[in-house]
Amino acid sequence: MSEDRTLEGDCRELHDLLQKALILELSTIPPYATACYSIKEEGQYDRAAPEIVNAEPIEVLRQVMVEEMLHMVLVANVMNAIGGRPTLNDPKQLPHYPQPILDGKGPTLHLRRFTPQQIKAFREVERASHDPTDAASDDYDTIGEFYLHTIQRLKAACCLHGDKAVFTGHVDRQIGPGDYYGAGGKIIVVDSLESACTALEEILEEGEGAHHGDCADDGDRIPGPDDRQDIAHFFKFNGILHSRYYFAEDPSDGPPSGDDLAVDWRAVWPMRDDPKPGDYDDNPEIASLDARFNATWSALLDGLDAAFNDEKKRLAELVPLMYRLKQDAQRLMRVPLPDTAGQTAGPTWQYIGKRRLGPSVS
Amino acid sequence: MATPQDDEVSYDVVIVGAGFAGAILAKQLVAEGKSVLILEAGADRGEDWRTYRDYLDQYFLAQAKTPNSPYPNLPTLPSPSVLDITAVHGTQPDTNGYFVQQGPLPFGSNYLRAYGGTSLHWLGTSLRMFPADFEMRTRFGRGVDWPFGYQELRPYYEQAEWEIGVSANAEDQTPEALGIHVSEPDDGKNFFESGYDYPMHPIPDSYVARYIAEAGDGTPVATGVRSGWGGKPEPGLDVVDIKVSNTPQGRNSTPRHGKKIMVAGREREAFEPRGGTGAFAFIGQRCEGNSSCIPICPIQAKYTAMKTLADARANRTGQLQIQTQSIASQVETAENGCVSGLVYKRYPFPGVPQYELRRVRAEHYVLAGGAVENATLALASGLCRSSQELGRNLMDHPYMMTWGLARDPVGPFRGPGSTSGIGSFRDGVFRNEKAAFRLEIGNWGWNFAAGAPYSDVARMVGEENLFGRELRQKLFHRVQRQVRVGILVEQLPEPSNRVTIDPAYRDPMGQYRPVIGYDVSDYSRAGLALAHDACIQLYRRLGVENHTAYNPSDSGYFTHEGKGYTVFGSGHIVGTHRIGIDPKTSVTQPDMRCHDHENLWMVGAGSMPTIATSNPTLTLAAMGFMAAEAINRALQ
Repeated sequence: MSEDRTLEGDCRELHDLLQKALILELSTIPPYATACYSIKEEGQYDRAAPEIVNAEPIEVLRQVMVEEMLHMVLVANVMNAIGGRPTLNDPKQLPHYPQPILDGKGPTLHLRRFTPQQIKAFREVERASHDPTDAASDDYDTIGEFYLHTIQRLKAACCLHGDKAVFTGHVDRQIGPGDYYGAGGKIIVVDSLESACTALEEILEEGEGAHHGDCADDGDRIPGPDDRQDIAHFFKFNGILHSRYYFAEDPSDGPPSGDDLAVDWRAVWPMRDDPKPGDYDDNPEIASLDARFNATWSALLDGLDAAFNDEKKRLAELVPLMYRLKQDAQRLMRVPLPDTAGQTAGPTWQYIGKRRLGPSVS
Repeated sequence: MATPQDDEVSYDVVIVGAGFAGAILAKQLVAEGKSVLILEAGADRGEDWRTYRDYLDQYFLAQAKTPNSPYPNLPTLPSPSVLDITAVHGTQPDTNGYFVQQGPLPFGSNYLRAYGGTSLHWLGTSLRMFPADFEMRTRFGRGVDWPFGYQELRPYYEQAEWEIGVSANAEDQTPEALGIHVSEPDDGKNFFESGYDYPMHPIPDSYVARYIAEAGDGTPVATGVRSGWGGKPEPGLDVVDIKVSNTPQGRNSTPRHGKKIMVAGREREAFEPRGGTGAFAFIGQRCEGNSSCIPICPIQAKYTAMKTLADARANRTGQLQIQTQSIASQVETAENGCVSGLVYKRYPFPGVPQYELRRVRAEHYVLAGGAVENATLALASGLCRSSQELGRNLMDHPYMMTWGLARDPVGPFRGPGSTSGIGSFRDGVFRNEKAAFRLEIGNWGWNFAAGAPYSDVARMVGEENLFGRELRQKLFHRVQRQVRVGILVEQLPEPSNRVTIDPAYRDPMGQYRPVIGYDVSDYSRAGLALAHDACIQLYRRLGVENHTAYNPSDSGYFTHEGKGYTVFGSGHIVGTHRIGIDPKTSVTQPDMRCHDHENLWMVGAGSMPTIATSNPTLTLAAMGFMAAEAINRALQ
């Protein structure tokens, strides 16, 4: 590296990379959540057989989502540790679907209902890649390479300027195990190059399991007395497609060998692909449901932004909002769209600015 | 009776019942390398996540979401249900349900015969008893003293709180912090071991609890005449101020990090919450406020005995066998009084009254089927005859409700059934003449009291002809203001409150059904009346419009000093095989070994000589650790 790199310039570059990572993690949540919420629950599909249809794929998708949320917290911790300011409610940076990721070099994310095609698309997002030359340059085209690149840049900056000069963030801005509400893995407080690398590698491992050789595992323990390893996102999605669970020991290039994973692709609301705000212009009732969803989504983003910037306690308050988000989304998915062959509406995931939420009953 | 087939394998210990007590014993015995068999009468194994999903489906579909509604209720293996409770008239027993009720009041409590036991539908309240509760006879001339005191039980409480995973702050739970005028001034001393704290931070107080605390704290209630206080005579009224406090709960919250906790003298790392099972292992690490702790936590954030059983099974130091669909039928004894075998009925098809009669042998035998089932089995086997106490001294917390409408929305139907209560009346010199009690601040509106919100919908649609937006708004306005306070009052051990058996009453498997005689004494009635007054005073202070109504046709209706009240059971079934030193007045020794049978142990809430004002689970769990130590010693 050239010697004319300044500390300021390097930090700015790292802040930009991590901000990009934060938005990247965030961008996966609306597509995952849309697919998850489009699955019918509690016997709406068949009242004669009223088990919660698709409880298992719902749970698998939920696990991936909460891990993406953990990734956001981990990225925010790294960013805060090096004096950055994580931003989650800047409309210019927020995703609009269809949304290409990694500056157009990665796959394009769509808002679609739960279908095999959509799960295949999710699998592509989490696909592992080991091209070290891509990661060394900024020519990354997978999320894994992007993080490897970020880790390399971070190490280089520390090497050049010294750890102390880079890690200047205040410890109070770190979200720790006492603040982080919920599961998804281990929260890591970042105060050094070492902990920063651990945090970023955790993201990599949960996503694609890349660092664990040829198996499906992601290096995290499944809670409980059995002492088994969890598997990476790529394999979680692949398990849904195969209707079978992976064991952590299953080879990464083979099919899953665990128990049946019951999937019913039919028990899904026929939501229109990639709903956009303009779609509901002629239908004020649907538009108001969508506005309501967007208000909840915006409040959630505002809350996360605050939690990552000095108001840690807000994190716990966001749990009810996430439930409400699901409710609001499912309300839309139950409404048939006029002039379509039975397609239903869906949430548009638009940030509509800071505003106060009304009561949940109207 | 057919000849039982002998099991080929024998064990160090056979435990009857896979509930709270049985699970803890199994875990502790297996950890010491013992071989253990648990016989569970229930058919299911909810630890398998598919079975747990089935329970959830049952719950979602159930019309009446009673505590037992998600779980199997086989005609061949009935569990008592709250829907079976009717008034008992005259001398004719009520045989509606599983219990044969002799009255005069119906015994309104239930339990669950399934893998995991009643822990499947408990609320999670994990309260310790107070020092006074162990000395009722000495201090108040009521009931009996325990053979040990609070300080002896304290380290076991710590173990039980760790095992269950209790969420609370120690500093909020001392008698002083609860606002109690303790009956002896030293009671608050060393209530917690210095440096001890609960494994997880408290579950936050519900909005309604904070609403009541804000205006209601400090409401003075005269509990009676105080004759002596700290040795100094101080005549006059003893006035206790109401104080709302957070309730310790066996439900996952945020674990305590960065502080080493000493549990029974052993330093522990941060607690690791245990949630769901199998494919759902990643849910339930924290309580999410699903608002259905009773009857079932959809994410298993609430403790159930299945968690302890899973730990026990994973521990390879010893060996644990769990055999469901096996009803303990007869405890066989040799001439010297020792138990020689346990005969059980193994049924292959749930619901079909067909079984194979088998016998299992072990060094030691433990009855852990709950206070009623333990007594029934022991009586059916002709055990423990030195005292006349087996089956007697049955206690519960008679549960009475008051309810009203607040001026403002108080946000019910969100979060756990109760996060907070009023503990100020859990001890005091008034216990000379009336029972102590605890008030529980309900968090689900008038749900238990009046079937809300369904009953509100029915009334507004059916009687007020409301629909659409107007219906939603009015419903919201009304339901949002619902306040309910539950009263749990202590009972004294009384010989006439008892479980017996009668050959005339058997279940389809040929097992004795529990025949129960039950009443609420004037001592408890006086406590209930005082508690009722305290609620009314609280409502006045808060501006809550009282809607409490007790109907003479209620099954648990009774009168006291000219006023009528209705009580229900609270499922806190205590006292049928109490511990004690004297074999003439107690069934089991202080370590829960039977006086009459050297290798037979009876554990669970049935061991408790008095019930006090705490929900008995934490105490029975603590005593389970105590008994496990004793059995491990006996096996050496």
